[in-house]
Amino acid sequence: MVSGLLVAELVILGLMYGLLYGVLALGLNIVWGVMRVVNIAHGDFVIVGSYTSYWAYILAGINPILSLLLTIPFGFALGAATYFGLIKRVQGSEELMSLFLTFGLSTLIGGMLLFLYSPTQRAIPLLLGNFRYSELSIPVNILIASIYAVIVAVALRLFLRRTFWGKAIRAVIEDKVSAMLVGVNPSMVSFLTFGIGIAIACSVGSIVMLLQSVSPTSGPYFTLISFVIVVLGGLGNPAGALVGGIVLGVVESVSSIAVNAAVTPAIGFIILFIVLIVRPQGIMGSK
Amino acid sequence: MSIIDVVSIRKVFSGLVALDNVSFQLGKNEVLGLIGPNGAGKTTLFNIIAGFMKPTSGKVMFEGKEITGKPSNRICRLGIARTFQIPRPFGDMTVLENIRVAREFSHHDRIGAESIKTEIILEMTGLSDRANIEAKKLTVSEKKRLEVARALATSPKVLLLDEIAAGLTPKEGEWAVNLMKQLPEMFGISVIWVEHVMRLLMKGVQRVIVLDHGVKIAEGRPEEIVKDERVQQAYLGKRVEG
Amino acid sequence: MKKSMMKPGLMLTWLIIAVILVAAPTFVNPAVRSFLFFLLMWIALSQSFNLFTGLTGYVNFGFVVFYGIGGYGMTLSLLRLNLPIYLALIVGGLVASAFAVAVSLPALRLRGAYFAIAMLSLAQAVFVIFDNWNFVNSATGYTIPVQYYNPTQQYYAMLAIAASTTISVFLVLNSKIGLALRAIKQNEEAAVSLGINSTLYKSITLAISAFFAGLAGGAAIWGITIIDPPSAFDTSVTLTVISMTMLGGFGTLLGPVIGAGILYSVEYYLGLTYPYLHLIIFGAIIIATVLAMPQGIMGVISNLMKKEARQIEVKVKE
Repeated sequence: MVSGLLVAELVILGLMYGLLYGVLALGLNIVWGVMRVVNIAHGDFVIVGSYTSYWAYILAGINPILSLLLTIPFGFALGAATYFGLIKRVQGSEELMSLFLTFGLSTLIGGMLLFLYSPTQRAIPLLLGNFRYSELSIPVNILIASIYAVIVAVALRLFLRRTFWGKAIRAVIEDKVSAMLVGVNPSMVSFLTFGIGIAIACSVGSIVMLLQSVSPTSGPYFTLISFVIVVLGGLGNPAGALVGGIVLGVVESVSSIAVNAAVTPAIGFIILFIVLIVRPQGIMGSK
Repeated sequence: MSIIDVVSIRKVFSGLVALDNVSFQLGKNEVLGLIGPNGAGKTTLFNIIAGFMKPTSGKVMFEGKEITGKPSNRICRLGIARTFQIPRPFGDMTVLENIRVAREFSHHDRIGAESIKTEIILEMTGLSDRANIEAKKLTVSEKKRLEVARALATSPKVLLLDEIAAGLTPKEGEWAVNLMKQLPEMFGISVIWVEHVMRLLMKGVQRVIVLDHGVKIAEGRPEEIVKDERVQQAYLGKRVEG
Repeated sequence: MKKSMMKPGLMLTWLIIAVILVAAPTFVNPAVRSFLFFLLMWIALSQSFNLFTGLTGYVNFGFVVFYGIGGYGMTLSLLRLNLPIYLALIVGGLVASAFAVAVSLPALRLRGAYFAIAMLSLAQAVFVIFDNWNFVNSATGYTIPVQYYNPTQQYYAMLAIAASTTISVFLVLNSKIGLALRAIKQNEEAAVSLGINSTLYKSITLAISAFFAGLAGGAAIWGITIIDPPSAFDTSVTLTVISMTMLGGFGTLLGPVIGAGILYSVEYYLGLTYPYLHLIIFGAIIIATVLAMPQGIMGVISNLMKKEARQIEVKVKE
């Protein structure tokens, strides 16, 4: 018999993982919304953040949460460099070109990490105990991760709603031509968006080191999760990314009761496949 | 017997009624004009007849058999061809290759269909000396004529023409009117012609149907339609004196 | 892709290559033969990838799934049904093809990026399923017993597969299917309005692509002798094939051959000293190709030829 307590804990865990992955997907989503670029290397930037935090810990004893001060600006700079160096040149052309370009980028990053650090799994052994609330027991690590996710989501929302550049980004997502007509510089907006997207990815990478081990080939997994979530929630719909993330997180978590835990990633992909076929625009998207 | 029978077609797009209870018939060898202000639902009607959209309710009959909801490639093979308002040529292929594609794939369901020869199609659409040019290099007016040429290559019994006269010079306009005589007389093709260039349409068709906001507001001979008050109101928004 | 491909000079080149490849096992050492074996495999895989993606413009990011299913199809027919090896290879191809048909009907309704993502996630899903499925021995996989080991036969099988894949691509390109696909790629809506059943043609093409990928997968496993989910559904297979086809030029017949030749040689020689350097190079090549040479090497060559032709035309007119 499966206890209600177990299910409750699984749902909460799923929710928390879902929030983290949802925020990651958010990064992918705004890039697509603003630039119509599908960034296949998204997950690989996560791993870059992870390795940055890993080495910060090993070499200087900086814990992953503190290393965020490092990975967020680094991620932004990396995003800006990638944008000006590569992405900008394929922005205008067909979707296929940006798919291939970011695919090449993904291969490049994964290859560099493999070359430099070998395929060994890396982990930061930092377990912070469990948080207990009446009968529930939730690991503090995942709690911190989800708190971080919420902070990022709120910060992003405030940025998009209250600041000038945030509004500019929203304007471009909605209607690029009109935005340009009122004087918005699409190049600046794109650069900012991509920088933010990669900053989010790298920072999630740091947080991920609290939860699991990574290797240079873990990137595509995070990319795929982000895709699954973004498509479930509808490309271009920021709220949808969070909703999609939570749905996926909970489904995966709860299903671990019924099926072998190793198979749960496949469930996400199968769901994606089915959703795409039944409703190509995602659960919350519009055509 | 009419060759196309549109029966009470209704099309709703998430709350917006694009077509409301539209019915009409197209007779064999008839050239029927379809006019109406922008947003009246003309292209939607074309899309439904040609199988690009399904109506919310209603039927479309072709030669007495129902074709509602059939996929557009099947409808083409049955004998209804259409042109697109904004031409969609196969850019990297030559004019001849474009026509060849149309010819190759449109006859599967009709054995022994009488084909119109390519030379004649080229002659009729004035593309004879452009036959080996890549479609992407054609002028806009040539691309529009290529649309018609491709549609003809499918040996249609019915041709749905979508604004082929827009942007044509007066001489080219005469070509369009002539075409409307040749199609039924020489090839037994019936035509529905959507057009905004009124003076050309009125010269080329035998009968006109007027749509406004998805509703058929008038039907009759060109002379009658021009004088119809409801039609004037639809276009101009007010009564026109005299 | 025109009949000009049949020019005598080109035909001679193909003939020379063919003769060399056929005669190779008799006078090269095992290391070179092995190199050629895998080179032929990459040629076969790139050609079959090119067949679908090059002609339809839909990127199949889950391509490796056909390779893997073909490999498993061959292995299971060989070990469980005791079929003769050549029959097992064909079964592998057919199973991959059937899978492609089953999957394509829903998947092909999706546009560009959505299709790419769907196929990518399909490959991941299949990997995870095979990894945990007793019927295919889960993560353990299978080993092909020693009695089937025959490097010369394996070589010729792969050669035959690479050749038949290339010939089939040529036939499709010049067939009615090829014409339909070109029209679909140019303007799918127009193509459909002219009577082309685009889903049907795309499905057929995917099925053919999967068949040859499955064949190549089966033959590869025959040579490698081990099959397990991580190696059978390794995403790097897809990315290698993409790099090769991109470099050589999509939609051309010679492109994948050139791309495979260059990149596999690079991988082989680098792999001897630096294990992962080739990935960095592949990634850089894909990026460089997208930015500078989207049409690949064949595109550059054909542009040069067109320029020459135009210059000759101008001279003639003067």
